[in-house]
Amino acid sequence: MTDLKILGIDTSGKVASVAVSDGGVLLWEQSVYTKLTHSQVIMPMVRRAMEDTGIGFDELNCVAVANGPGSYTGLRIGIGAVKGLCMGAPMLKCAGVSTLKALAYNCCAFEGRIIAVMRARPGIVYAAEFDAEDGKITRASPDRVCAEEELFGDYKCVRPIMLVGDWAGEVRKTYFDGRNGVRKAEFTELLQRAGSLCLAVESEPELICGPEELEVSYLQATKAEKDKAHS
Amino acid sequence: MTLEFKTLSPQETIALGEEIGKRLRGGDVIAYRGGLGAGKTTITRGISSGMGLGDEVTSPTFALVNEYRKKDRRLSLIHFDMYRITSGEDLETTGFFDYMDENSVLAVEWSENIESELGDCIVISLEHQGGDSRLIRIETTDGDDRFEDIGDRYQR
Repeated sequence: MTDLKILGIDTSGKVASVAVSDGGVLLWEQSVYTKLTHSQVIMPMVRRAMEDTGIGFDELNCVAVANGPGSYTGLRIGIGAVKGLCMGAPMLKCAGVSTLKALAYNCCAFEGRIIAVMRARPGIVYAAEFDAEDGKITRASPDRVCAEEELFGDYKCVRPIMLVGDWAGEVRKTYFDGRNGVRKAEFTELLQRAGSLCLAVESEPELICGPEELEVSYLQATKAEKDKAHS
Repeated sequence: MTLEFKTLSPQETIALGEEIGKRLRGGDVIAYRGGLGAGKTTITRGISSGMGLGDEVTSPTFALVNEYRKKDRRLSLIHFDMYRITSGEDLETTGFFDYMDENSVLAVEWSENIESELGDCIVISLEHQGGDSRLIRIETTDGDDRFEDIGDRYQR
């Protein structure tokens, strides 16, 4: 582990989540599943996190943020909040972590294949595959947006599978019903958690970048829908 | 399945909307057809009221989307105006797909503009018939007969 002080912010889905870690210790984490817009919820959470931990913005090594895929509005709020924080604290670095990779980190105690899957819209999902071994997460496929059945219709994998993300339950029911060795993450680790953003940066410090380099990956579902119609 | 109704006043259009609103379920998408002044916002006022969300509905033309929610109601009504939306990319930036879930009903004005992006939906066409009367047609997918029993209970 490093000696990094990290603030994590995730607004990519239904959950708004904020965490603070210091040298691999999780000091603060809060997640709220809410109908309220993240724009109303997220900054008060950040303020509480900083107050409760007593860490100043100028002491942070980086602000980690889920940079997609996910809710279009949610991503804009999260990235906007982080870029705004960095404008107010010019030395502050940030880190864009794939939402799907962060979900995989939710389950890093698992051994086998992790598939992170989120619903983009009816029939269309965001998904990526990872291999988890000895607490290490290795990417097995890029983040993508595709028709559900394209990825799961005939899924072959000899390793145990862990499904994580807001569409994991549906995928398990539809494509893996009764199949042994295919699990859905428990509800405590099923959805986005900002602590996993901190963990991802701890494991991959090369993710740290300047705010001007921070980008969002929307992975437009509209395009996937067109591809599906033409296939 | 197609049903036709004739309303003779805004009050009747609202009353018809209320009957529709009572029968809506989470995940429903309503696609409106009909030009300016056809009564799209008026019938939405009834739908909101029928869903128990009050009748203070205004046109979403300026904001693109208005949300109607109540603490004690599971279902919310999300009212869109797609007049200025002309592509799937535009549509994504309105957050349209973020709103699609089991706790929301989406009501879409100028749905013609995004027809290719809409899946199964309830199509409500409103046609001006002179004065205050309107011909209102409800089209649902096969086997969806939940509006059939509205009959004439919207008439005042």
